[in-house]
Amino acid sequence: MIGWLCRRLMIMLMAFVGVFFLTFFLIHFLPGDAFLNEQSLPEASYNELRHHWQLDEPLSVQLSHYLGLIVQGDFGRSMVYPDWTISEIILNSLPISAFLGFCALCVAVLLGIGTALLATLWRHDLYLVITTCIVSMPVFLVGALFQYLFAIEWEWFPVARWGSWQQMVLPVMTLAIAPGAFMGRLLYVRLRAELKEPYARFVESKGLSDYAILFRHAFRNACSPVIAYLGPLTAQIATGSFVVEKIFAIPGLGQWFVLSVMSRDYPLIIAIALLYSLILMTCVLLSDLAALWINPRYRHALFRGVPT
Amino acid sequence: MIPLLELESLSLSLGSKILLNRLTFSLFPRQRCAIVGASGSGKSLTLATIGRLLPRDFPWKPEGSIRWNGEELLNMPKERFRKIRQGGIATVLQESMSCLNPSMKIGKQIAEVAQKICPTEWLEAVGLPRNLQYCFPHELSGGMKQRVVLAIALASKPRLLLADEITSALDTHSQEQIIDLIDRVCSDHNIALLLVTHDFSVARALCADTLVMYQGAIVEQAATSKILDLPQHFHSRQLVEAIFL
Amino acid sequence: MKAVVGLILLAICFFLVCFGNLISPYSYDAIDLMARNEPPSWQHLFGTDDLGRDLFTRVAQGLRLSLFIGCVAAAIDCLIGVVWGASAALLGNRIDTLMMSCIDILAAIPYSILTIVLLVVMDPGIISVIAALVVSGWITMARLMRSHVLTLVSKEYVISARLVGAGFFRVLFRHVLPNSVEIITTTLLLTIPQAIFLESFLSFLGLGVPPPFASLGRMVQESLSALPYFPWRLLIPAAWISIAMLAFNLIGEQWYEKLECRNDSLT
Repeated sequence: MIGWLCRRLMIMLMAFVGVFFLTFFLIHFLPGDAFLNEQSLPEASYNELRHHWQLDEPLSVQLSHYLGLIVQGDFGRSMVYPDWTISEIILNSLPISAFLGFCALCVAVLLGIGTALLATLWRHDLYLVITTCIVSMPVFLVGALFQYLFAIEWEWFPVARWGSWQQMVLPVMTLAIAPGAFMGRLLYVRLRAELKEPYARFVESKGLSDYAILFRHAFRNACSPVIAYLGPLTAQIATGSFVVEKIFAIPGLGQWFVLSVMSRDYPLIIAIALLYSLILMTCVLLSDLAALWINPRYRHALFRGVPT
Repeated sequence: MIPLLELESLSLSLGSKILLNRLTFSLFPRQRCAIVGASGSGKSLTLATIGRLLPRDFPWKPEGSIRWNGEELLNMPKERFRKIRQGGIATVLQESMSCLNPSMKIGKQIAEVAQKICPTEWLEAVGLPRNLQYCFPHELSGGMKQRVVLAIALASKPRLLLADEITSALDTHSQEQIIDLIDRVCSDHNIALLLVTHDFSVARALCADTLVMYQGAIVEQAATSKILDLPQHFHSRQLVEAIFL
Repeated sequence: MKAVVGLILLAICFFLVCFGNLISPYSYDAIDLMARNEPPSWQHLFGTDDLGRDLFTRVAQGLRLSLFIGCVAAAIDCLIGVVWGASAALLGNRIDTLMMSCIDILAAIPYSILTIVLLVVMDPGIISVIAALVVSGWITMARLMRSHVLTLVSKEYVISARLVGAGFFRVLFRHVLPNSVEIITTTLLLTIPQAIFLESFLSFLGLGVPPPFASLGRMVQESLSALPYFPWRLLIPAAWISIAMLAFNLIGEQWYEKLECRNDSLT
């Protein structure tokens, strides 16, 4: 297990190096070429940016300087909003996005697991059809529909912005519904497979009720892939947040990322891309670790040093 | 004396195919009966029908009657049947190796059969060490898992044990041990036994009576020793001859 | 049942794509400032947008683009994935480990960040969008193909072919590929909706195919501010993306279930 962990960390490191080089390559669009096609920057800001990223130096110096900047977290000022440093932008908007994402994660997990358990009890394959339909709806359709129906037409919730709990409902639901449906379907299929296993029949012959069989036995064994899915789920929520924050005008990191991409604000793009990569990679690693932990075989292999 | 278990013209069909053909026999308390036959003769299906363990999407159309202590089992409501499972009929199926939940400790799996059960008591009854209750199934050998499954079946204090091919997947030494164990346990706790096996030697070791099944019907029903000496039906003859090969 | 619904939906999409332009008397970029923001009616089946352009024609055009990009990207993904996965499984331990490590590293990078950053760098256009979609989409196919081929490799006919001295390509084309058709088609059918979604997502962010090409995602983004007043401008293109995705998802799943049942009944 330690070996597995080391290998995963190495892979994460190499992937981060990949992102590092990719974003480094991006910064080379500053000097001129892309500029002439996009907005024109005042001479002073242009020079300041070139100086900050040391673009006049040889390549090796640039690379090490870039690494130093990342480690310190100093990305300078935004190109499009020169009054703000990038650190300020990120520190202001990251908590909002993190909170939105966390709420959406909780709702998605609860919805997914809850509906899957109910559907298994009632044995309705209709559940699979419903989840397929939900998963096929792109996040902007869901967001726009929710906003139009619940906020504009029926006026149950505020249309946009962030602050009160009423404003939280629609964005969180939009973000949570598709990943929740996917997770629910994953769990449902696993539960049905577990209930066909020999031990499920044996437990039934012991005289346990359907609920006990489901919750105490089948669920535990079906959990592993569901927990492993939590990592990609976070990635899905992060991607969805770009859209949701735009639709509901939430001043979060996703909205800034979309803005920076549309206006080609390279320093900001780089900073947010690196940050998202780090967060998402960590989440995937943690969820894989948790999924392994749940399985007693692997847990024992770790503690007793016995190869499985 | 009312029979513990009584089958009367039990038939099971799937579409036009007849799987079980008018089975009729009775089992009295403490009686041990083996059901012997080749693969596909319907033995496991009979046990599964009695214990209501057919797969859920099976087009379940049994006809006839199964009576437990005089009570009709076939149309019994689920809740009532659960009570019978908890104190009357215990089942040990094929594939006992995978009958245990891989992510739950052995002690807990034994304990959940009923309230106030002491797992160590039943582990000792099947000849296993006490500290096994803290282990997971993957740490046990095949023979040990078989005993645990037996312990779980016994912990509900049944009056009838339905056992399906419990020795098939074991090596000869473990087979003998399990046969001795079941013999001792059934005598000690006054449990009737309905044992399904394709091996006549196991039937001879454990059961006084035998039913021979062929293509879904009971073709011979007599004391085990009598069938071994003088098999009447041609299929019984085939099975008896197989022992001496 | 599911596949039938899926096929019907797909047929509707294809009908719209092929004949939409022919049925409609308007061109997709014909501006008519007198008919701005009109709701769906008999003159304009899906209504008009901000510049008076007929939405029916634009949706037909955008759907054609989405389906084209989605199918082409998914096909290239599957091709790369099949070759990579099969090679990894057939070429032995060292090369296998190397190839799979490459995949693991690439898979660790969040695909949305990767695609977005790539598109920021490249010139906008259909080829760039397809290239960006392809970059991270082939991983699933590669992994599936590799585990499938690993099970095949231990089967007798492959072993005997190798013993007779069959070369790599012979084994690949004669033995491996014909037995992998099912897994390839299933994955392809389920990759297409993801590609369609990703393409519309990128267009929504302004990174897709540039105007005046009508892209469904871009139409959605342009209509965001108009949602309270002219909801059809956003809801109709978004719904069509959903219909296309749903069609492929239903067909793909039904196909997968059929294969599962067949495998189950064999065992």
